[in-house]
This record gives sequence, C-alpha cells and structure tokens, in this order.
Amino acid sequence: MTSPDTSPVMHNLEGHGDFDVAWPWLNQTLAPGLTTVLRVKNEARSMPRVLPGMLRATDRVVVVDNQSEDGTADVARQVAAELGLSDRLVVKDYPFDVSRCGLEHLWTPDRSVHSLAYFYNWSFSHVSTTYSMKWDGDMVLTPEGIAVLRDLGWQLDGDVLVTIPRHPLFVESESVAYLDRGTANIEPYVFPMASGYGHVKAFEWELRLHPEDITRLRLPEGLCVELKYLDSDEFAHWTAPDSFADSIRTGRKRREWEVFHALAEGRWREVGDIERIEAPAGVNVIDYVTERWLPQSHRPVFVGGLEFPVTPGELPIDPDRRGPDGRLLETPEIRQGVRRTTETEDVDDIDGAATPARVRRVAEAATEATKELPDASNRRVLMVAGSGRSGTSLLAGIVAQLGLHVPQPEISSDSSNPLGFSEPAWVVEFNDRLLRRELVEVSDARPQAWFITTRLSVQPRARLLLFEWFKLQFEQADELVIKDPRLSWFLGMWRAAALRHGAQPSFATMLRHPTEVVSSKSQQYPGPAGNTNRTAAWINLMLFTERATRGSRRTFIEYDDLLDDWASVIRPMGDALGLHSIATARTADLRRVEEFVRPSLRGSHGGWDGLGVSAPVRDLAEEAWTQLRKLAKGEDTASQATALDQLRRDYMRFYAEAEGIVASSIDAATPSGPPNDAFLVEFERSLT
Amino acid sequence: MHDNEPDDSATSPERWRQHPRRLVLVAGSGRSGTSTMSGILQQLGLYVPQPEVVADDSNPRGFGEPQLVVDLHNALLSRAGVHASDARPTAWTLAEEAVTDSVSSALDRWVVEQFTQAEVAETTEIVIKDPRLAWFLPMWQNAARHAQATPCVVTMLRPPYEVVGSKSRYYGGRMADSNRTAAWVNMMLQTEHATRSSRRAFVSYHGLLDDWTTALYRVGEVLGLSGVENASTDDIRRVHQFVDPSLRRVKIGWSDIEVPAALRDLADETWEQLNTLVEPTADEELVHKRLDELREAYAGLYHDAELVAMSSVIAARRTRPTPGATTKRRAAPGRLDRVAQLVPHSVRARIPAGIRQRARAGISRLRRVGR
Repeated sequence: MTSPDTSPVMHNLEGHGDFDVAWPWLNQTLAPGLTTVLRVKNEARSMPRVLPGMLRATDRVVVVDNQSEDGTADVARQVAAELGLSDRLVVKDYPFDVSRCGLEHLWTPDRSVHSLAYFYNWSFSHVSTTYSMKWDGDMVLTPEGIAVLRDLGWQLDGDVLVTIPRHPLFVESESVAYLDRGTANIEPYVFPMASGYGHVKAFEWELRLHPEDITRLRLPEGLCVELKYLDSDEFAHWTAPDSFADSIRTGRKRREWEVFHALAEGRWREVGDIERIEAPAGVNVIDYVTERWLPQSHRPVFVGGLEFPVTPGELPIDPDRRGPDGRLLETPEIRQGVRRTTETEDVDDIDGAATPARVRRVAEAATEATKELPDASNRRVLMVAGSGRSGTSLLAGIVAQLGLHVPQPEISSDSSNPLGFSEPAWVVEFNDRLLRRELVEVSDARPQAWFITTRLSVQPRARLLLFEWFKLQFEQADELVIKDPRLSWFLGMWRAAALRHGAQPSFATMLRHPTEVVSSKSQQYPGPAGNTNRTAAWINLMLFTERATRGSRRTFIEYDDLLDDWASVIRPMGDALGLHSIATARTADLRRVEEFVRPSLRGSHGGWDGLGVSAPVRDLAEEAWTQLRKLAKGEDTASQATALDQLRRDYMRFYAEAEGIVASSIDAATPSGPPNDAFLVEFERSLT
Repeated sequence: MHDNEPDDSATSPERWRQHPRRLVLVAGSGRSGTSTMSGILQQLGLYVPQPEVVADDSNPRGFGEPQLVVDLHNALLSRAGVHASDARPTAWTLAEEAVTDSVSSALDRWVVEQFTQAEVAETTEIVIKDPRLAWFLPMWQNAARHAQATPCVVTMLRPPYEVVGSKSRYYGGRMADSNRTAAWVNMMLQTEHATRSSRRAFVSYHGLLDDWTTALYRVGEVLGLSGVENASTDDIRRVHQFVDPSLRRVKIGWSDIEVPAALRDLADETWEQLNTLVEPTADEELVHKRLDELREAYAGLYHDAELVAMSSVIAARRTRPTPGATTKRRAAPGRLDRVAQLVPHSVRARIPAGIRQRARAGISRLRRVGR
C-alpha cells in the first residue's frame, strides 16, 4: 500500500469537505517539539489521571473527541485550565461513527470517514510540531515517564521512532488494582511528522507507515500503565471476541480478555503473573501504582523480560556486606580507588550479560511488592551541572560543608584542583564509560552528541545500575550532591533515577565567562582540540544543559558571585531548591565554608585576545554568555527560553555548516585499512 | 569550412608527422563537460590511450578515459588518503607526495610509448581525461616534457551550483552540499594555479554546448592543435552527431542548494574570476593575483571550519575500523545502504535488537562520513 500522503489533501469518500485531511508539513513550518494525539470516546473518568501527565510531558496535546456522551471534551478543558496549561491543549470534534477493530474495520474502505485509518490521519493532521505521539485515553504516565518524554521533545533528531512499553493495570476499586506482569506491550508511539508516516489500513486495525531503516529508540519499562476498569466494557471497540480469536497479531488481546474475565470472576491466581496491589489507606491505587509502586519495583516488570544482574564491584558499596553496626561496607575495589576500565576491557560491557529472566513466581514477586516503601519526602538530589573549570567543584564543596552528602569515595584532589573535586568516583566511572562507548568527549562541540547520549541513557542496564546505586546512597543520607563534568550529558537519566526513588531532583548550573573556562582548560587539559573547538564545545554544553534543566527546579550561579559573597548566593539557592541542610546550617558550618572558600582565586579574565578563537565562534559564545547570565539574574522566563532556543538552533546550524565544509577531514580521519599498493608496484615493474 | 572543400589530408598523407607533440590534459570538475570535450578532441583525431573505460548506462557515449589512467590515479589517491573530490587545501601536498620517483619514471616511459602508439594512428596529439587528473597535473606535465611533448591543459568551467547539483540533503545533520561546493572551489583554484606554466585554455560548459565550433576553434588556436586546425568535414559532422544537446537541460541556482553564505560568496568570486580566463588575453598577472588571494581565503575558511568541527574529526578518528575493510573511506553512501539491504528482512528481523542497532549505528556513522 502506498503512503496516503502523496497528494496534498486527502478527500473522504463521503464528500465531507470539512473533514478532508491536509498534511501539516505542506502548509506550515513545524515547530520543534512533540505533540500528543489522544483520540477519546467517553473517557471523562480517565481524563483527570491521563491528561495532566500528557500536558506536562509534551509541548501540545490534541484531544480528538469522537462522539462522547459523558462530557469528555469539557473535562479535558477543565483539567488543562486547572493546571494553567490551557495553551497546550487543542480539542477537536470528530462526529462520525468509527468502525470497531476487527471485522467491521476490515470491511470499511480506508478513505471513508468511518475508517480507523482515516480517523487517525485526520487526527494527526492537527499536529504542528516536528514529532507526534499516539496516546490512548486510558494510559497514565509515571513521573519517570513524564520526565523522559519531556526530554524527547528537544532530544529527538532525524528519522527516529520511539517505542514505549506499557503495563496493563486492571482497576478493581479505589484501593485495589492488578498489574499484569505477563504481558509485554511494546508499540511505536512517537513518529516524525513528515511525508511517509501516514496511517494505513491493516486487517484488524490501522498502522502507521515508516521507512524501513529508521532509527528506533526503545524506552525502558515502567513509564506507563494502561488502565482497564473491571466495571466497564473494555472490549466495546471490538466487533466481537472472535475477531481476535486466532491470529498471531491478536495474541495480546486474547491475554487481556482472559485476564479481564479471570479477575471479574475472582480466579486471577489461576492465570499467573498477576500482581495484586493494595494502596495505603486514603491513597488512590492508580496514584499509588504510578507514583510509588511501579517506579520502585523490580525490573524487568515483564516476567519474560531480560534480567541484568548487578555483579559485585559494579556498585561501590556491596549491599550484602555489612559491618557489626549494620552499616554498609565498601567493596575492596572501591577502597583501592576507582576501578578504572582497562584498555582490554570492552567498554560495551556496561550492557552487562543480559540473561533471560527466570520466570519469577508471582508469590515471590508479591512478597517484594508488599514490602513497606520508604518515606521519600525528605529526599533531595542536587546535581551540579555546567562546564568543567567553572567552579562546579567549589559549589559542590560548599554544599558538602553545609551537610549535603557526597557519595563516597571521592576522586582525590590534585594540583589542578587543590580543594578537591567533590566528585563521587563511581559517578565519574559510570558516566565516563557511557561516553567512551559512543566516543563522546567530555567537552564535545557536536550538537548531535546529545542524541547519542540520549540513546545511551535509555539502556535498561545503565538505568538499573543507577537505580541500585541511588538506593544505597539514600541509605546513607536524604540529601545528596552529585557533581561530575560529564553529568550534563546524562541529566535526564540521573533525574529519572532520582524520581524513581521519590527524591526531588534539582540542578545548579555554574556560569563562568567562556574565555576563562577555555584558557583554564587549555592549560589543564592540552589535547588535539584547539581553543576554537573548546569554545564551540562550551557553547554546545551550556546551551543544551540549559535546555535539559528547563522545567525542573534549578538555579544558575555566576562563578564570580560565588567567590565574592558565597553566603548571599547559597542561602537563596537552598531556599529555591528546597534543600533542608542549607536552611538549617549552623554557624560552625558557615565558618568551615569560609575556610574552604578562602584559598580560591578569582580567575583572570584575559579576554579573547591571544586565545585564537575565530570570530563567528567568539560572537556566538559572547551571545550565549549574555543570554545565560540573565538566568543567574533571575530572568528565568518564557521569553528568555525562546531566545535561548533560537540561539541553540543558530549554533546547531553553524556547526552543521562547518561540519559540512570539512566532511573531507572527517572522512580522512576515519580509520581504514592500509592502501592497496599492488597496482602501483605492478605499474612500476611493468615498464622497466 | 564548406562541404565541398577538398579533403587535404588525402593530398599530403605524411603531413601530420611535421606537427609537434602535444599532450592535452582535460581538467575541471566532474559534471562540467570534460567527457564532451575529450570526446570532441577524440573525434577530431587526437589519440586516446587504449583500452578505455567501457561505456555504461550512466554514460552511454563512453567516458574517453584510459583505463590505466583511472587505475593509476585511484591507486595514488588511495596511497595518499585523498578522496577524488577532497575539499582539504592540504590534500594537494598529500597527493603530490604519493607520486614517488619510481612512479614518475614509469609514467614517463608509458607516455613515450603512447606517443609511439599515437603515431600508428597518424597523430602526434594525445588527449588524457579523468576527473581525478587535477590531483596529478605536475606529474603529467613533467611526463609530457620528458616525451618532448608540449603539455596543454583544457579546463572546463561550469557554475558551481550546477556542478553541486540539486541533491540538497543532510547526512546526519551535516550539509552535503557544502562539502561539494568546498571541493569545487578547492579543485578549481588549485587547477588554475597548477597550470599557469602550461599552454592552457578555459572553456565554458554552456558555451561548448551552445556552439562547440567557436569554443573548439579557440582551443585549437591557443593550444596549437593540428587536429582542430586540420579537421575534415567528416570530422566536424561526426562531432555534431557526438555532442549531446540534452546535457543543457539542468537549470538551477544557489537557491536550490544549502551552502553557508561565506562559502557561496567565495565560490561565486572564484567562478567569476575563472570565467574571465575564457578570453585568452585576460590570462595575466592581475587575475592571477586575485586568484591567489581567493586560494588563501579558501584555506582560511576551511581551517576555521575545521577548528569548529574538530569534535567530529576526533570522533571519526576513534571509530574502530571494520575488519577487512580496506576501502571504507571511498565507499559511496549508496553502497552502504545496499549493504544493509543485502540482508533479507526475514533474517534481519531475527538478529537481536541490540546487535542490529549497533550495526545500524555503524552504518549510519559510515553514511555520515561518505558523501
């Protein structure tokens, strides 16, 4: 079947001109970002649970109401208004009967307004961003899910489709629900908005086209549940159960049918892999599952999924080794310092050896599930972001003196940083291994490197290690400070791991004039990259760090301000980010900080002269510095975000232009085998 | 010339022997009418060393490219690590260094032998054409002199936006058109510089297709080619039948391709200056000086861009070479796509996702590198 978008407008068989499909990419320039398309029919009950997450997670939500009789559209408008996010909501009305999945769908022509494929094409034609996401009116995101989708809105690049696993949750009452661990529903949801991605008709339902060689980004489990209310007819949109009785395409539907009826008849234990979840008193079970239970539960959620066992030595603290006082003991590897990856060790092994899961017996899993979940309300994770050589060590050191916990052991100080780095060794090792796996430099000027690190960030193995590591840290302290110059590349993954533990993540980004950063770097880390490239890398890192932390609790701090009067910077920061340790710091703590800060020297601002940075890069860096400083001066506003987005796009274009010109150098740098000299040898010989 | 003019080659059969030896090198960027030019010269009796690269679907009239010349140039470029359309201003030195003394003297002997062959075909004029020729102009000029022949260069000129074509596409965010444009500037400025000491003619592509007789008459005059001067009516009729007017069809401008403004300005100025050289009397110091400045400006522009994009160069340097792949850097993007497609879908689907993803990442990395 050819793509339906080969002609500019798709007409329907019934001749309803008002409901022709006009492809948006032909009529307008699509704004960068992600739009959710929700097609709903009588989903008023779910809207208050589904919609807030979607409005927070994506740039726009198009709700297409198909003849609801329960006021779904009005509830949707009301939910958006209550959140103050009405500007993100678009409600459209589709007044035609749509054929139910199965046989009815099969007999409906694809260009009819009654066809599912036509309905989808019409619904998606209201998207005005570069990427779109199909969503159902009964799918609820976890906080991690919201954070991950929020990031994708700016991270996605090129022809990518995103698949998201979802977990069926059968809701019995306000306080009891059943999670089906025996089903792995993984569907592509996010697609680019472009020609070649239209919806077409399949046998039982519609499907969306995409190029064969598209990049797929598979998101981790635990981001979303799909609600099934036991008191409603969950199969109303199907023609009849025998529509999905035998095809391999409909096996998932048969499982759903089986579980649904087993639950309704009280014989769910016979089905297997069903987990009964009861919320604490006064808490709605859907909230409980999405906000606490699922984020903290074992991975894989799907019993047939791949287990990634954590081996001793991968975590700095071995959970099975405790001292006489019950405190955790460090592993021998860590006592000796960081376990550096050797040259011969394949950096790919961050993937670990994935072993097929032993199918966990439900009883066993249930024991873990009903375990008391810890109180997380005091947990905070402060992540110190920004370029190296910008005072990130100083800031982390100050908050550590005030009581935030630096995960141990730390990298020891050296001549480049006599105060110490306040860098947890495990964090450095973890981030470093990920970066090296895809050849991203700590200081990398490529805008496309952000999508590379996004791909690394969704690896289940990496996320599992990070989750387990955080678990150990929260046994030590509630408020943590994490600092590593590589952190900016993985902010989304770190934030998500903190969220899964119920902690509140926040970000402090250090700002220092690029000339100081660059001259300091060229002294401390001489290498093949010159100052022009270092400056470009600074622009890249700072503009994308700003984008990655937008929407979170965050603060920007100028290096010079911190040196001038640290107390007047740190106090408001503690308040803004809700850091208890800082609010309750005592005089003795403050005196310690004073002694810690005193030896720090102000960097010399030598200006651009002598750095040899080319003019266009210098101009872009100055502009970025001017715009970013405004954030430190309290101008963290929507219009400032627009200005920074524009600047980021200017930089991306500038880099692409430079890269285009020098493709020959990139080409020449790519290792290839030795040249084939056989012809030349023969040529020389044949003519003697 | 008129059809009823007597054919003078018949009246004095040995006259061609009195003509001096000429080695005509047809230079210029690919897709600029170099095949048409060398084809015309061949029709007019100039000798093309045999065997030639065989004609194919993409060029049914043949390339007029001697097989040995193509093989030699490819081998030398491979040794130098230089791409046929390399935009690096430093690539010229690399290509020159690949030409060792033993290669030079082998070529000297080969050229002498070709003149012997030419004489069998009753001419003292040879034409050599290959899109990679620009990289080795000094080598060929020296070989010509060794064979007591005068090196002559015909450089074809076509607007850069037409050469780059309308394939405005991005590979992994990178602008492919920029590199093609940069490569054009690099090649044209260097070709001009390297041919100042030779007899030379610059020929406009559009001029050649509009009216080849004017263009060729002038080439014959400037280079002193007896093949042109003494062309018979039969020769001329054959050329008319050979020149393909449908080549004129492409009509595009800068607006059809994606190139940074600074590079576009440089390409425009280069185009303008080279065009003045179509008029032989303009080939003098003032223009040469301006072209020297442009060459310097281009080197500066390239250097600045290289500093910015150093991260991409470093990342490329660290990619692991594919085992057994010796010609990766010359693999065309189309070929990489085909590698993936060679694996049937049913088999690809059974490869574990992780491995497939990594393979795809590898291929897309290569694709970004290829042009």
